[in-house]
Amino acid sequence: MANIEAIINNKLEQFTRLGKIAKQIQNKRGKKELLQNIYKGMAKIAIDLELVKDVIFDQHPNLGPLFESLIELYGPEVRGQ
Amino acid sequence: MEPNQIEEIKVMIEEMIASQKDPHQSESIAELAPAFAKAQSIYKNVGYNRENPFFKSQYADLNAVLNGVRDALSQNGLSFYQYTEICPKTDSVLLKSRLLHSSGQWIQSVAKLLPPKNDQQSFGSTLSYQRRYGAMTLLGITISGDTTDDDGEHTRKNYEETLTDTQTTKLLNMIDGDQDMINNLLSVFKIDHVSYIPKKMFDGVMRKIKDSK
Repeated sequence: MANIEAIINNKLEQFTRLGKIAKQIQNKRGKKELLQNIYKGMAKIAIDLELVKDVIFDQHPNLGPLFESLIELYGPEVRGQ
Repeated sequence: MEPNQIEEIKVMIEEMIASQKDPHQSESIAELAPAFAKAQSIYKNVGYNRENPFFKSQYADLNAVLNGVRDALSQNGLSFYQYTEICPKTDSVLLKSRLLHSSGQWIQSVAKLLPPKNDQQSFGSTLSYQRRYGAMTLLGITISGDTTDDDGEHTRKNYEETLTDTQTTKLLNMIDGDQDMINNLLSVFKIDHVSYIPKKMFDGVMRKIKDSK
């Protein structure tokens, strides 16, 4: 059985990596669509981690509002894909 | 699409990145940093004390490396330890070297152990080797006499003979309790006691002190 903690950490790492990329391109021209796709990718990870979100928010309190905003904004589209 | 929400997300992402902890240090090292700086200023010189007959080379063993810094660290509330850990992603063995301050603050470095063979002896010798380099890297220790080092370091070879007791006494008499003079000598030779002045410098130092009076 895969180590659940490792899977969660891996997803959080991906989430942070996407966040860093988003920060780099968020004010660049012509990158709007790419930025939207990155936000959607982050929303997908937030949705994947929904079941364990309480544990994550305990350790990373600042992620709570970010997860919620991303899910609110992109959740319907990401879930429908 | 709500532009306000996008703006909020941008801000939250920035906060998330800013709040990310460096995995190699405690949240703050405000107390550790000055203590470490003080400790480094009083490190003793470390010189080669062992020979490797296979490679026909000299090296300083872990004991020599740590003996050069142990007092300096401890006097400044710092301790140093190393431990191994299995990397959950790669299953490899990691050596972690950590410098800890009495405030609880810490910094660390991590190295992957790469034993040439898959047996205990190979692991043991790789671990010893890596522990030495891990300590030197994290603690900023240089080995005097290292041929890759510069001339300034070269003059600080530990295996150089230092002052005899008689010479030290003569020197202290000459200094006559002048604390500025003592501090100056300690700073010039990067030592923590005048008795560590190289023997061959004795005459020059005595002359210098005499001239300055």
